[in-house]
Amino acid sequence: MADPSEGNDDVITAEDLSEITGIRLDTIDAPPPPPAVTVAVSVHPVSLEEALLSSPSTPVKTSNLGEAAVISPDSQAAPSAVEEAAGGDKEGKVDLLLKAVGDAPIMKKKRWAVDPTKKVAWVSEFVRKYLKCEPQESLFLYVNQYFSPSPDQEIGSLYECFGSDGKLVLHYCKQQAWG
Amino acid sequence: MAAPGSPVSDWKYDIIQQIHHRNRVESASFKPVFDAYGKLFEFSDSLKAQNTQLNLYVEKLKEENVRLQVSGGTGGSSASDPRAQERIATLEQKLYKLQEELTEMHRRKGENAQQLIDMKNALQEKERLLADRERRIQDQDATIYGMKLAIKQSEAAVLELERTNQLIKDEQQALHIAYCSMEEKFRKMANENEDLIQRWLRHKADEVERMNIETENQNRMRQRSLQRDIIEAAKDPVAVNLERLLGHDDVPMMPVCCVVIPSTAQRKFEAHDAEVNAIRWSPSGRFFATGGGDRKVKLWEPSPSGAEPECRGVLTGSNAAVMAVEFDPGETLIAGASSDFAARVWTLNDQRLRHTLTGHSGKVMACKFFSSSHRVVSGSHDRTLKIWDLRSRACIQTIFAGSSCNDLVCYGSQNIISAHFDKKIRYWDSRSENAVNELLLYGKITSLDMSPDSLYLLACARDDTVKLIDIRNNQVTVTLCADNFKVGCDWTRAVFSPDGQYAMAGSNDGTLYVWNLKTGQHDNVEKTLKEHTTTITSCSWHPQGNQLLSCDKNKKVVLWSDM
Amino acid sequence: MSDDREILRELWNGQVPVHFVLSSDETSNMEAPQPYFVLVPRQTYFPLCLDKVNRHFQKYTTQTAAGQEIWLDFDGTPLRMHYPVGVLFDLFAHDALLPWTITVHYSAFPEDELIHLASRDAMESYFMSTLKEADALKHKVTIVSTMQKKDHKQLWTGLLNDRFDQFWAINRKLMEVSSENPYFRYIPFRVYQADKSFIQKLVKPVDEEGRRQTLADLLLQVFPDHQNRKVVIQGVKMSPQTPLQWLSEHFSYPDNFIHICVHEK
Repeated sequence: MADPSEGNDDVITAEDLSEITGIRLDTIDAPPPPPAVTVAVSVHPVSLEEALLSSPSTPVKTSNLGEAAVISPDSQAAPSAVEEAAGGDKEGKVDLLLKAVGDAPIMKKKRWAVDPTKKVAWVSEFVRKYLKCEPQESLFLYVNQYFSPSPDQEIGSLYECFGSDGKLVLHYCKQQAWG
Repeated sequence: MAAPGSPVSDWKYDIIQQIHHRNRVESASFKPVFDAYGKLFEFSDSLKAQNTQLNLYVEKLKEENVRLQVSGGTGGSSASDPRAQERIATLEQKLYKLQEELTEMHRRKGENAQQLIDMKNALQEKERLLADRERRIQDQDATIYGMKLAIKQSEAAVLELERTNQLIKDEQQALHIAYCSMEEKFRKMANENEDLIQRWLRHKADEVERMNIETENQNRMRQRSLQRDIIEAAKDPVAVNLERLLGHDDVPMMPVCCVVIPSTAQRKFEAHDAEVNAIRWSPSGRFFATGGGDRKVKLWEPSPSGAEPECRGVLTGSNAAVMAVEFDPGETLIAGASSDFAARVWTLNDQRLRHTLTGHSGKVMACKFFSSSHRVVSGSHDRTLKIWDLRSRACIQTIFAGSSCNDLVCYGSQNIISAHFDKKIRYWDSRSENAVNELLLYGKITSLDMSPDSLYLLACARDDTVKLIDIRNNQVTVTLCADNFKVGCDWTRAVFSPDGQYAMAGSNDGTLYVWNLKTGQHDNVEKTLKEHTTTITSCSWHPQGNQLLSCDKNKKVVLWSDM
Repeated sequence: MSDDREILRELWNGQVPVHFVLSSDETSNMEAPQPYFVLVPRQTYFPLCLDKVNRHFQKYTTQTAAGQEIWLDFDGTPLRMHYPVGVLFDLFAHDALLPWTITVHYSAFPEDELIHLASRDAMESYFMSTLKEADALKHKVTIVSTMQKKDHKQLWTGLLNDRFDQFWAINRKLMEVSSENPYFRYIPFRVYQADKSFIQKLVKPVDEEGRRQTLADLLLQVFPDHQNRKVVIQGVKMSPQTPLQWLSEHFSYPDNFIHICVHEK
């Protein structure tokens, strides 16, 4: 995997993880996290892979992860955290524009700066949290209003292939909209 | 496969080889083994299933065996006699069977009961359905019956109609035949008529010829006798008395028609105390009469010196305005029509009222002597014409004209023409009830006058025109009008000149218009005479043609003369 | 082009021998579960051919595991079942001994690594989405959207029932190029390495000067470091000189992507 600027990666991953791990801890009522990598592997679906992949090269991350996990859970903090990051440093990030389709609720903030190594599944999960979707509700993401991207595709590569005007447009909806 | 050597097919060849290799290594080598494995796997599965089944069966058999042994053991301990034992065993077996049968029966009974209930329910359901159906069938039957009735009725109606139709057709045919025959007859008659006319014309021509010859003969004879007389007279001389010749001067001359339209108003004078409605020269031209709104008829004699005409008599008796006056042809009687629903007749020499002709229920607008001096015909606003016999002093005929009559004229011995408020001129024969003919103009007709030769009719109408009508074909030949000519009232009179060459009528601005009838439709105004200041009601042309009279609503009468 | 047709058919016919064993965590009784052997077509996906395997192993599993979603691992690596079987094989078992031994699991689904795709419907919608993505890359005016619903179904059932002719009757339309425009817009491909997520980039079949691009050009764009790598597509060690357009038309998987597996030497 290409190594983007490490600092950025750190900030986003840490805060993002803090939020999601927080939720997990809350729901499964787990004790404070054991060594960060293993916790990440067992509780965090999307960042697991990253954690696995990046752990050898960036040992700093593990400590960050550990600290982040202790931060008290606050699901509302997730968007603001990303937004802050988006406002703070846009370099190397993908400018992501999320648009509602059909009766899907509209997101108050539509533009997000996202780490290119994030996967589609992560964005999907992020939108679900933002819209407070019930677990049984489904959420569909579409590129070009034509196809759903593979959940394990990286946002960076998706942007490279289907981005335009410096941003990647993803449509989301709660029913299947295109095929 | 492409030929080796070309670089393109080289790599392709390589690829195909690799794929073949891949398939060989990965699948071809494993295929037989895996296929065999699959078959064996399924076989073993089925064997396992079979085995399990068999095991179950063996278990069951074992159980039965144990049960049988137990029952056998108990049986053996109670009875020593093996036969009895055997019997007991068989009995028990029977009992067991019977019990089983009983249970079976009970079960079946239960089933049957259940079935019975089910059947009952079903039956009830079916019955309900059946009843429902029957009810519906009855309904349908009723509907069908009703419809059949309707059909029958309709059929009857159709039959009736057909019959009527046939009848009508027959009638039509009969009528058609009748029509054809009539037409045939008509054509024959027309032919005959034509033939007759031809013959009549021939006869006429012959007659004319004969008359001409006769006249010529008479002339010749007269000339010959004259010549003879002259010759005889020339034989003895005669003394001529000049005195005597001159003395014969004041012998009244027979009226000689010499129409001259005067252009000066010789006299203008006040004739009545109210508007003058009617004015008329006597047939000889020695007098004229006027009728006025002051209920009087006056007789006037124009003075030969040109002074104001003298009033020769005042004929009274009317209780309302006099609308028309008329002399009889023998100049012994004068008739006046009055708004008091009556017409009156006076004698001229003693100026006494002779007849009052009452019977109309509206004001009388016109009265005329008819065929002889002892008959008068009057036209009234009550939409009737009445013919009066003066000898019997009675109304001898009433003609219901259908509209108010404004004026009328008589010609021949029987014919009357009347002018009406409904814009129509009607022709009557006193011998028949109904109008012989009629003519519709464009305005209320105010007056009628008959030309001296009785061939033309002059009608004045409220559409401000005067029409010249040819009586023979009942058509308007000339329409007389002028820019400022306006008909002033419903009894404005228009008259012919004595020779029938001119027509005269007064306008509501006081101008008297004279038209020349011979010049045709346009530019036919011969002369306009302006003396009156108000609406001219009536005018009259002197029988000798050289003097005119006109009267107006302002009591005035004007005598026009160039002498 | 009888060669090309033969290649298509031979590629389609490719199968890998698989030896399924039940994970020792799943066994409920003392009896060791029997393994299951089967030949799996390379072009298909695991969720489409696990019915019999599932039935076979269900009887050995514990009560808690019953009814849970099946998942596979090879040598401790969970297998992403939404990749074609051939890709997984080339990626992980290229050098392994045949038959390919895969462990079957029911419990402890690795939520963070795998997607729930065991149901046919989910698999179908994933397949169609990938197909459409490839379509969007190849054509400015997408072709799948102009097809009828029954054509979509025919593609899917062709793959499901391993019917080459049925599948290619429709797939041909997606692979066709006209004589005036003999190239796709971009080549749909994904490059896989054993322990990383796949790489996908925009690569045209011809460069700006109109030269045909080859596999070597593609690899250079993906790996600018000129390192020597072993490239395997559809189980074939591919020559770098292979033209990309031809490769896309003939070596794509049913989802219309060329899935390229790269091994470090």
